[in-house]
Amino acid sequence: MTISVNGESESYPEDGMTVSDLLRKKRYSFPLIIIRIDGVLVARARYDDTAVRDGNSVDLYHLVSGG
Amino acid sequence: MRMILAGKKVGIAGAGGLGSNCAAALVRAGVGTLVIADFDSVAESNLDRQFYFADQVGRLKVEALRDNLERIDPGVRTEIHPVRLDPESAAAIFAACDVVVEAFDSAEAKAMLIETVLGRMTGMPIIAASGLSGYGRTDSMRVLRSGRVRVVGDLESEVSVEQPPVAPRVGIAANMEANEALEILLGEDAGWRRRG
Repeated sequence: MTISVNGESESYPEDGMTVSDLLRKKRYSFPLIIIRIDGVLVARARYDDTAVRDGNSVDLYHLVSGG
Repeated sequence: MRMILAGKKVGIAGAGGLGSNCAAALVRAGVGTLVIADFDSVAESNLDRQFYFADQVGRLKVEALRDNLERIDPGVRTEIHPVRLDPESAAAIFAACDVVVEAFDSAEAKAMLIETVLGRMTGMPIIAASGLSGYGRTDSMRVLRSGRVRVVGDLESEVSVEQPPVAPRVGIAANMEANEALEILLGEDAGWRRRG
């Protein structure tokens, strides 16, 4: 499947995966991430059962302290 | 441009290094009204990067910032809220703004505000900052834009003892936030449409 992550096209051999799968593949282990799929916010508690499908546009914002 | 901006209202969540410098840039650019929230007072340790002065140590940041902004432009309108924002108060305080600027220190507070705006404030654009510690690496500062969310910074350099926030990169991020705000405020009048 091909998805867009932060505006960049990325291809994966899988037909579909969960948000948690995607984070593992991208080696994202950050404690605070904002995730949107096609503009819809994904709650932290739903990463394991929210699907990422072909054609989805995924936003991943890694939040770190400082201001 | 200044005529349009004079009629705009920008919410600033946090009046530290990001919020105080972003507010100054927006007032200088001509934004008419700022809604500023911060519970904290000016500390001597803030003077290395925040838009305050030594004789303001101990004062509420929102009051000191209002004074400083009025010294730039006596006609600027400010609404100040000396409160610690939570989802309820943030949604209420910034409801009438044209755009909200996230200017907190902690990652948890940043996440809280972004989730609040996306979850409770229909159509409200938000500009956040993530990753501005240390010095140098100017080229790593960038902007992620998607729908009504924009995030500025390098998205990785966390504040630590070895890598404290330092004036130039904090100021760069603050001014990037202000610059994105202007694009939203001015673009909307030119037919810019909100999505997402």
